Amino acid sequence: MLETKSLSKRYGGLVAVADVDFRAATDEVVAIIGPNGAGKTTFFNLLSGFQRPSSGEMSLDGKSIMGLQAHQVSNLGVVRTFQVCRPFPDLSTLENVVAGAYAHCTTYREAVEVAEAVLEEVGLFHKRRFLANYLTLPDMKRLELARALATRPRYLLLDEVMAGLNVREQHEVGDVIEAIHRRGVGVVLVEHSITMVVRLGRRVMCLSAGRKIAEGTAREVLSDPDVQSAYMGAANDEAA
Amino acid sequence: MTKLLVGLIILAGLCFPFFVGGYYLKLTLLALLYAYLSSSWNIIGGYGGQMSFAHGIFFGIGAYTVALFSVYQVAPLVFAIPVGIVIVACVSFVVARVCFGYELSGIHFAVGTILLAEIARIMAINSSFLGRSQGLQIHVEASIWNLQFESYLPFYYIVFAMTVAIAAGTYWLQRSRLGFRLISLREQEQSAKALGINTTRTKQVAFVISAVLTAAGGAMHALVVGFVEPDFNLGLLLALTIVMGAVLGGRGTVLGPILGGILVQAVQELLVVAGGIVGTTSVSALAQVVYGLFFVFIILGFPRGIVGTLQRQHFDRQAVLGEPGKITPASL
Repeated sequence: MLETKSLSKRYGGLVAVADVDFRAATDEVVAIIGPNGAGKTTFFNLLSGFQRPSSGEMSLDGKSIMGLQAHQVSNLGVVRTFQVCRPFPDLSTLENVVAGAYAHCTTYREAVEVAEAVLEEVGLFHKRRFLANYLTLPDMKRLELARALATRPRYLLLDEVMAGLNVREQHEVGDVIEAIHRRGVGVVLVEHSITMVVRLGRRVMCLSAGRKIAEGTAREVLSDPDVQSAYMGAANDEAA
Repeated sequence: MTKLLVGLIILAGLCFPFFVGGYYLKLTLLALLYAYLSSSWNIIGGYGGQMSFAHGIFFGIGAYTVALFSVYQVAPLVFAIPVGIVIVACVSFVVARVCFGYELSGIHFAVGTILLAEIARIMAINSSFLGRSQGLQIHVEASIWNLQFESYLPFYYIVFAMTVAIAAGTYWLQRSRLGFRLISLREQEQSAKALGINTTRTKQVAFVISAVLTAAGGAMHALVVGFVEPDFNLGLLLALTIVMGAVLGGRGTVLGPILGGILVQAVQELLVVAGGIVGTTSVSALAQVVYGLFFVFIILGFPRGIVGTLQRQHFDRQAVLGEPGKITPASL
């Protein structure tokens, strides 16, 4: 269980994340939605150790992960991807994934075997010799996923993997995420694509201005008036 | 095919002294020594992407330790090498802790190490213990324990072995866990952290390894040329020569720094010879300018270095042509 209790991040007077309670288990896919600037990425940064929370509590299986550095959180099995793809540009696709596999492999041969299996799984095996720099955006997203997957995570934190993909590509990546989930990896998505939120999110949490304003099934959250007004603005106010 | 080529190169290196001797053998072994030094720097500078100019210090400590053993008759010179290495391990550990601990990177790290190199040089110039700006001469009887020989032949084989060993080591590194960690943090530090790589510690480890290897090279240099002096052995100039070789040949490749290190020495020697033929100092000064310009153009034209550029072309071809039946241009 990956949990946070009243987690907050303040920058001076600005509150980016405010008192967020969150939990995810390895057998679920949780989607985090919210308008731009709601604090979704900051929340991921806190959870993955890239930024320090101002207050609150985070734990993994009951053990506190407060104050751990990014690599330590990753080594505990909570691995994130980035909103903007950050592959290792001068390495081949395979080598990118080998770098991830070395999180648990000791020999090159072993790491390559793991990496090839993962590439097969995400559908990038035929491009394994390409420089990562030459991949198209959908393939880079796949690579980002593959690299994180090669570390054998228990939880995957995916920051807007669907951004920039067309609907067909989104569903392809969605298939990969479902396959990952079936293997018992907990998936937490920050996602704007409502199609994907509805398809993948067993549970959905909506953030707005750093606060959790709704949580529940996709249908519940999307029909919540607070959520709708957070996205669309309050129609009634304008009418008044 | 590759194995055969490597075997042939090594064989050629082993046979080389049968055809060339004396002064030219010395030049060759010094060129190999620079190839070795550039390869040592390549570990942190090429694979780790950390532009260290502090390597002049590590070279200097290795060299000065040998000279001090000779001048103060501490012990046979062969023991100076491990002593120098231990000192450099300590010094580089402290430098790495401070620089990487405070997350100095990019230009800040480069400038920091430049300052350290200059501080070391100025300290040597001002301490009589280290012979001030004259430096120190190495005068000991020729013996195997002193690593002083009648000819350059033994030196040649020692340096040749060191160069082959570092090339083999780099080849191994490239595929090892440490190597992948280094390359990852060079390519994208945030992603490396996300994959669980302790980037600070990885840089520290690589820096110390690189420094220690450089110290061994510095010690060999002092043993070969027989003197040390601060301007050459400690300052920025030496660091630049080492870095130049690696950059020219190709940072982060196995053969690049070896090729580059040899090339830098060859060009320098050619200029000295050219200056000698014309026989005026103004011409040799002009030659230095030409030398500088030559490297500026190479770096502007081929920022990845010789081997790096070739490798890139290989990848480009593969991306365009693809593997028959597997990768087609359409799948790009």
